[in-house]
Amino acid sequence: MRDGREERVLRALVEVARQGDEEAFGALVRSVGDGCMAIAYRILRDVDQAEDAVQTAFIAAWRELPTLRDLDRFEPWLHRMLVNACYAEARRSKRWATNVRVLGVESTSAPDDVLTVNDRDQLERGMRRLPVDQRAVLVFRYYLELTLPEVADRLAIPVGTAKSRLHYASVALRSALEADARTPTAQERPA
Amino acid sequence: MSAPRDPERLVRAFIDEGPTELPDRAVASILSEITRTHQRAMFGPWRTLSMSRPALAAILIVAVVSIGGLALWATRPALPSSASQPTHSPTAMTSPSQILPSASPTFRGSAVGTIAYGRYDAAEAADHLYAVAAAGGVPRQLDSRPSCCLTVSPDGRSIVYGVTVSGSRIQPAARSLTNDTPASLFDSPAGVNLNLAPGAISSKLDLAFSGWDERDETRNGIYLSIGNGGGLIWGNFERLTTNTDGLLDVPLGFSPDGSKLMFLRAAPGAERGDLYVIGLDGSGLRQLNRAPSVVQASALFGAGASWAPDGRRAAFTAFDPGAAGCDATGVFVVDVASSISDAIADPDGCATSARWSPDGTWIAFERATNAPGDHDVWVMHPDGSGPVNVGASIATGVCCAQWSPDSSRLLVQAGDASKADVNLWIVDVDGSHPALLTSVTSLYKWYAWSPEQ
Repeated sequence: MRDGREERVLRALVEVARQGDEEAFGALVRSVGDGCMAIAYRILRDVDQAEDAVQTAFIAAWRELPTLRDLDRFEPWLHRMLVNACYAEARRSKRWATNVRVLGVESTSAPDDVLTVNDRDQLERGMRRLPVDQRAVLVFRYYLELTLPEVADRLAIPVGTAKSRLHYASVALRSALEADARTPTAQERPA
Repeated sequence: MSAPRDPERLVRAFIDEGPTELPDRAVASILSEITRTHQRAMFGPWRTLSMSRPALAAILIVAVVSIGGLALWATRPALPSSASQPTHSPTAMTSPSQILPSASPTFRGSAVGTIAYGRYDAAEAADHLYAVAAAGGVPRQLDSRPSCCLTVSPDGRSIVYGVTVSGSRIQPAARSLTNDTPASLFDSPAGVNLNLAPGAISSKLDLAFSGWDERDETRNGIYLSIGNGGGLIWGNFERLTTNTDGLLDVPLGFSPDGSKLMFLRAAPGAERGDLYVIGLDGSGLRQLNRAPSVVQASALFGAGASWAPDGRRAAFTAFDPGAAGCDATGVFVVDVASSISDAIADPDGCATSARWSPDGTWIAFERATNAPGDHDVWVMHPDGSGPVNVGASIATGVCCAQWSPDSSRLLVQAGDASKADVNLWIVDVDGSHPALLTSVTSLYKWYAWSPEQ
């Protein structure tokens, strides 16, 4: 979370960049680029595709920046472009569908929020099976910790749609984990 | 048999994993691409307005008169305050475009000592540390690596700071402020394996660090390296505070006799929290501010609290971050042993950066609102009398003072931080003789005034 001063620096950079200042836009990229990369990767589950989506989003943002009316809304506005770029990347390439790691199996006995190798494997598979628009809702809700109305605003969808996408995505991932729980452990598997 | 695990927490933990940095090559690629990409042309509504020449002329006259009137109003002299509470000059309410120094910025040869500071480098997106003579001159870089968290020892001879290594990891470093001896880097003592950021240094060269473990927040706390009297070495390394709820303790300053430490307890990354004092032996932990008010400490604003030279009292600024963002703002003098505090001022907006002068006669503090450029620095006596707006002769956006060793002058930053358009200034305690110290507009952090030449 940015403090008030950082917000004001960001706003000033947007204001200058909107007038065509490439240096200010460069500073903006450095300021918010990491966050965009984190979002894009978590939606696309692929580093190369995420980088491509971030690049597409920033170039679109540069081109359209003069149309941004409310400078304080730069980041939500950029995130909307980023999500659209992620959707385009997802349509452009289906390579993740076959790019699933197969990891070793270990005991599922671990504390809450401590992921076992199995958890990661099953959740990775589960995420990749989700439609990309459901992944986006998950990322904005759980990674950015936004409220559902905020998620809906960032994704330009009705709140009800955001809610249902979150519900279906959560059920799917929960099922993935439960499937894992039913998987025999290494000791139980036949040699 | 293990307890059922919470799928939602597992999903959250899974989503938290993964890269969080845009590689430099991707940034370079974006910047290269935008130089070849034109922005969308915009045409304002004025192009479609159908207006007669007389109407346009009338609007122009009204605009000129309004702007002129505003400028005259904004630049009129500040009225001295006779009350114990500061009444803020309208000069501080002007817009960033009106940041025009009214004094001729000249370096003065009479200011003594050395000023150390951090400056943000936008091209590198990192901070670097510099030192410059208080009388002016060419700054010298103190470390070629991106650095942070500068603290000057009370005798002004040494600095401790953090060097950013391998991404975001900070490694403590120390070096002389007065010569070019290379810095000594300190890694966590053997077996400790913590992130350590320097926070305070005492007259005995005891060091206090904010320590944290990204995988085990129960290890977060203040760690001391004491017994460094013979030089900046790792002395006895021990843990001083233990926090709960994942909070982080940030050392703000040792008491003048070095027996106590003042610190801020806040959420990681937050710059506002509760102010505490604790003995170096772990005794006497005491909260100095009263809920719901919070104290601010950050790289830009500095600490919101400081010790009185007598070591029995401290000054701090606090505000309630409630409905309006800065409610119930106050400047307080607190008796450390009892935690009984007296409000000596209740300025509008947020107050930060309370700095007690070395001679004990003044307390400087900053008052700000969220409006760009609306910052000013005030000094007043510890009983609340004699308030002076020391920045009125410089410009708007005057913030966050540090005292000269002889208490006769203040080192402040001034300008528009929202545009990273800030410089360091030196001004007399009565607000006269402002002089520009730096010439590179940027963001300035962790600055301090050492008596050493």
